[in-house]
Amino acid sequence: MSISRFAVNNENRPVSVLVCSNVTLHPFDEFLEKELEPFNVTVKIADFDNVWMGAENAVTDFVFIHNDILNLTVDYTSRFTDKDYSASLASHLESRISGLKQNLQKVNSPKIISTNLVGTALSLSHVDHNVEEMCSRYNRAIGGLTNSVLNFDRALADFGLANSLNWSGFYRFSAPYKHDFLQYLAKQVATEIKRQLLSVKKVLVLDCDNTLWGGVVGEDGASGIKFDDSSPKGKCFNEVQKLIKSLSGLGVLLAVCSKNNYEDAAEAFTQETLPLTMDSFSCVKINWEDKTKNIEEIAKELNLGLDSFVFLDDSSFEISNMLSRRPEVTSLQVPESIFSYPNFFRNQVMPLFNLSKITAEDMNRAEYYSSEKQRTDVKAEFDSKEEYINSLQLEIHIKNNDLNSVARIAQMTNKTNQFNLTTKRYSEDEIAALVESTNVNVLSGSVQDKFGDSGKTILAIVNDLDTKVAVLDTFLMSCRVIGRNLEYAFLDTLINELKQTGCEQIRAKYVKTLKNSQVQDLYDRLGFIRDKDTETVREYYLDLAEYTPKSTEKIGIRYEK
Amino acid sequence: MRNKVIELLTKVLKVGISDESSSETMPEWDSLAHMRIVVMIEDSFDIEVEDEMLPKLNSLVSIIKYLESKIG
Repeated sequence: MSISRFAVNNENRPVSVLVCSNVTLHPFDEFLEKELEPFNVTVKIADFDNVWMGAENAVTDFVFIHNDILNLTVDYTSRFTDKDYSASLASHLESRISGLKQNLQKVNSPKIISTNLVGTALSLSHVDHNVEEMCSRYNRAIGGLTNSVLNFDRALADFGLANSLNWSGFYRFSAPYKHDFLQYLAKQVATEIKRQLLSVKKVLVLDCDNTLWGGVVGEDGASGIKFDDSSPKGKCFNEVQKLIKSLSGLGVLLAVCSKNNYEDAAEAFTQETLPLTMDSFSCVKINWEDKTKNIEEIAKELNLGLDSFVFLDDSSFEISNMLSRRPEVTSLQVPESIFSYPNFFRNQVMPLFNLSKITAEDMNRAEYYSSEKQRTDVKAEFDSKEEYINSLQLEIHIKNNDLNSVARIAQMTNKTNQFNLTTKRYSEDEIAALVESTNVNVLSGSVQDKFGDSGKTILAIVNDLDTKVAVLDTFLMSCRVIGRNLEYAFLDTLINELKQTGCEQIRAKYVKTLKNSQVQDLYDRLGFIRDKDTETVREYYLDLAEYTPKSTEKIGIRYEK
Repeated sequence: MRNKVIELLTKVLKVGISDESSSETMPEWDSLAHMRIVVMIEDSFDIEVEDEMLPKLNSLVSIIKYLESKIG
């Protein structure tokens, strides 16, 4: 097979893979290149500590994201005492993930493969719910971003923790993995990349005797074959049949290719407790012909190429016959010990089909809907918006000049379009300078309600604090928290703080963009006085002594200077 | 031992190794390469390099000298 077959780009360049990790993964890049040798792949590890930005400027076909709990920037020991640990860490990670998502969409749309976050490396003898919850939140977020999520726990389990981790490497170089384990991880990633490069499997062709059920129906009779809970081996076949059925539910086409008398096999399928029936199959070939001939006919009938076929049979003769004569078909032999058959099917057969995509979308959808759906459900129960908002138990946690959130604050100025009064964009360096300036307050608020934490989503930048007339340079709110009247409570706090520092007046502006018309009257609603009005800019002032608090709902405020 | 060290260095640095090879003479011998060299020496000779030795193992000669003192 020529390499060009696998090209995922039209420019005749090598397939490129970018590796983003919060730990040092070298020489993972070399291992991965080696595993993918026939495919002409170049692998680059994004600069360390630049995990989330590394992807920005590269033209990339695949991005592999691996974040390890060992290096999550937050002191993990606080998890034992701080009950908010998992929530705050998870929302921190979520916002970084969404930043990465944006970056990736801006450049080109690579396929994204990631590992899930697991607590294994730091686990105690007892289950730690804080860590479990944090991991599951991270994994929901990453699941929504990626094309497939590799099970890192499984990799650690396969290899054993003692064989995977290199503690001196971790404490010295932030390189926590032994080379053998990295090689193993590279193999897993390579398998996934290959699966995505090669044509997607669409059809599963199955033998009957000792593949779908135990025994030979032509000899044992339809009542003598094993396929249900009444025998240990029957349980295995039953489980596999159910897995096959689930594949069909996910869009995989099923076909039978068996050497049998048609009537014998057909009778077996009529038994009520058999999970699969004749109707489960798009194509049935039960005869004494050569199986390569049968499979070609199936391909013709279904109008699909043989390279999208997976063939499963218990006979080593049939498998080697197929492998040598129809190598484009992926042929797999049922393991000799039937007790390992379900595990084999889950780990060797199912991954050949594109299930990961479906899983990721489901995860994404589930996450997207769950808390929002709860909010909507609750909303319907209330007569007024005020009642609804009160029921949410909203709380804004405002921090002034929070150096730890510079990246997120800069990101908010660049991402937010709808509820953004001036739409000024700032880089991280610029935000850092503003945060450190004594003349400027950068007020950022994170929002919580009883359904969850929305993270840092409100921002105001106030300039000219050294004069009696302060300037509201930036005021914005992320769209996920719009509609809960948070802006009133936030501004009440802001103005109250300004009053206490001796400020007498605040000036503000609305600068019209294509997307921010929903806030064009915001300052009017807040009681500011408009003193300049052009097509694109409205300017306002407010005498602080005249201001009366506007928030009427129960919204808790925590303010940290 | 000398041959084994040369083999390790060649594997990581992917260039020819001589008695003059060191992080000062070779651009390939950067901090990442250094990390890999230390990890490989530890793995191959089953030792744990002392922290204060880390920056000193920056040439073929010093690595061999160190290993001789360590494992004779």
